[in-house]
Amino acid sequence: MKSSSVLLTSMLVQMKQTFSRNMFKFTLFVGPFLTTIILGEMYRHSTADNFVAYVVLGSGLWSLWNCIAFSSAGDIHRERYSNTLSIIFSAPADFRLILLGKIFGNTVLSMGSFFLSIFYATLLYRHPIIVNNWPLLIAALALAIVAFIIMSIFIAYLLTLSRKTTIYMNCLEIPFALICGFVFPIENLPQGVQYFSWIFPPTWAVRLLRYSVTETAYGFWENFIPLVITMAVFAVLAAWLYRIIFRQSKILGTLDMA
Amino acid sequence: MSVIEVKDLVRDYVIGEGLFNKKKKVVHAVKGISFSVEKGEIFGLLGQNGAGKTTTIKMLITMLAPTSGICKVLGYDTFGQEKMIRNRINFVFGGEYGLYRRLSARDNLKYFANLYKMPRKERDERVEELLALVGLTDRADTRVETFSKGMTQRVQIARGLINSPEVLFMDEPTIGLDPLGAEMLRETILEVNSKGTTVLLTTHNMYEADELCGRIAIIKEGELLALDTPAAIKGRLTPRKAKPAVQEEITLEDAYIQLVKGGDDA
Amino acid sequence: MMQRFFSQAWLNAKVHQGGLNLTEFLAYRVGISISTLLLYVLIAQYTTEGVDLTAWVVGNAFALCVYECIFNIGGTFNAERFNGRLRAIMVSPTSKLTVIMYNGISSIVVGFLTISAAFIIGGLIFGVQFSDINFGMFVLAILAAAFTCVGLGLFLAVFALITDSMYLVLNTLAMLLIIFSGANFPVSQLPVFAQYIANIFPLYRSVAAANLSMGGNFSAEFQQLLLGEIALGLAYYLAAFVLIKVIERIAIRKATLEMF
Repeated sequence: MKSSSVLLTSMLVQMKQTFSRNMFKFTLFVGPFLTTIILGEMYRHSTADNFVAYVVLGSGLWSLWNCIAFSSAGDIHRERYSNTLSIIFSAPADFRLILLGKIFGNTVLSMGSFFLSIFYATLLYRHPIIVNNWPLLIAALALAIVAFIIMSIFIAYLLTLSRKTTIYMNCLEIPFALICGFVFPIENLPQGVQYFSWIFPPTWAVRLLRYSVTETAYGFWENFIPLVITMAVFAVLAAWLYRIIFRQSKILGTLDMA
Repeated sequence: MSVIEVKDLVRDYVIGEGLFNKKKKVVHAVKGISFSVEKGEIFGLLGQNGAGKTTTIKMLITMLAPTSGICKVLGYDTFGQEKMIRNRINFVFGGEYGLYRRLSARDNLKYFANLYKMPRKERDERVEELLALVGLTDRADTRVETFSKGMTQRVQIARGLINSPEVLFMDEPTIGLDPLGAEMLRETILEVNSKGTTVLLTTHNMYEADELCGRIAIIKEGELLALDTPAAIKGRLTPRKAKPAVQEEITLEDAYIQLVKGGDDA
Repeated sequence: MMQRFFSQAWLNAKVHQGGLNLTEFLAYRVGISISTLLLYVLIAQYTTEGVDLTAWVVGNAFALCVYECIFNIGGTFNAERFNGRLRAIMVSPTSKLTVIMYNGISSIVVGFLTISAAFIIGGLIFGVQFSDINFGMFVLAILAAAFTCVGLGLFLAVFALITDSMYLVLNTLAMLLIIFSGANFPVSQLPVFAQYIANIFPLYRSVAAANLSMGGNFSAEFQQLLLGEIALGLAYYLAAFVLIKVIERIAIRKATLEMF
């Protein structure tokens, strides 16, 4: 099978399976709505800039992250539970391509939650959405998605190593929203924690997005360069991790339940 | 009085199909079967996958309401009079699910014993007795998740016997077991039965059905094809259908295949 | 009977926590709780520009009830079905409500511990004046909140017998509970109809009561809130008690226990 068709098949199967799950319907439709309300009410008396940056984009990014990270990590768990993880792992097609296909599938669906969040925020609060630089916003969004995908791959690989996938999966949602500044600027965190935030590509992607909206918040290059660097580092780490898990999961026997 | 009484029993399922506009589809799982089981019998319910065996058992163990017909256990309706039945029956389904994998065999049995409201002393004695019966006394404190299929199944059997049921329902209890494990399980069934427990069991293993069951019902697509002793069912096999090599000794499997493949000319 | 109850609760606790070692337990239960509290309080700190954050720390510590009461208790039968144990439970003569409670006890204990830990840690980080707290009132408010949240959990758990959409139901309610608790913003900001709905949600009154325990005395207002919360809890228990009988019968009739 050609690589492209492995990728496409995996992506389509993923989207079909995901869409039929009730949990995903929550993550896709209901979750963003309720998140928007919580953030919208908390930011009700804040500035217009803040509203766009942390309610509109914030709830969108938070939902996007939940969708991508949760589904990718959850997939590993489900594959293991239905004993198909060992099958796809030992299939002649490259495991990396299969996983990437899954993540692409999740990403396409997750984009829905991102745009829905924006729609909800506009509908509920009727706040004017002023964007300084539309082309930059679109480019930054694309970069943010790539950053999320890289993180998802990294996390999904990590999770293949453990049987307690659900536990770690749940540990990811809030801490990432917290550290990467999805819903408030990381400058609000203690200095020590901010150094930690700098490690993760989503932090920079979020700042770049915010820059495209307000242009006053942060500079372009100050965020673009760290974003590219951290993305490259995580991509290399993911590749390295893959080589390790390929060996370790066989040694530890964590691919199936028994 | 029969321990199990089934008459014109029907069960339909309504299933929604399609992703969005769910179309309702009615599946007739059991289409008016009748049989009865006497006290102390081992009764076999045979049939292909999807024939309606599990649905029938679910109705008998009070988990599923019949669409119509009579479904009585120990003289009580399984839907409406569950309270009179539940303490006196139990079941064992094949497969590895159904236990708390993170608990030991002993803790699992204690948990299920508590569901039957047994006094502590009686419970602890019963648990030890059952662990000995299924040969797991040595491994009683090991977590079930580390057990082999056979050992897990033995815990399931012990669980099914926890309340010393008068009637035990078993749905493919030997599925996936190795020959020795299956043999041991058959011995356990005979031992339990010798103490007066009535057993209703489904299996795909014809040898097992022949060895264990006093009477057998064969169902196909929700309808009863045959109901008799294994010997009588074998006796109904028309000679032309028996393979030459086995003509001298016709097995239940030959008879079963003939019945199920060509239900009409049997 | 009490002995059996605690024996069951202990075995259930082993099932829940048995798969985790201490580090994982801390990461999972305490870690998630504290980071959730931090996230919301930090948003509040940013949006209010750092006024007294005590109310947010208190409210969000209470809101952590959600995880144990809604997901664990509310998800009881879901988990049993997923592991193929539901039939053994249904066919046993024990009341199904008791089975949920067996599962609930460990949730309540763990919930109480995580909430306390989150409150203390959050309080230390955000400079809550612990000396101002009337601890008697505070503990009463926590107990009332826990009582009512468990009631809601029980009520929700029952529905798992007839639907396979429990994740959707539980997640939606968990977030609604956070919205209506008033932990993060005054419920009066919401539209009028939503304010009425808040009245039938746990936490709405107990969070307000807990805030009164900050330097307050045992006032009539406090007592009223507390009694209201307990009455609401009782209503949930009663509803669960009535519903389980009805829903168990529907489930047996419609074959929703295992097949969808």
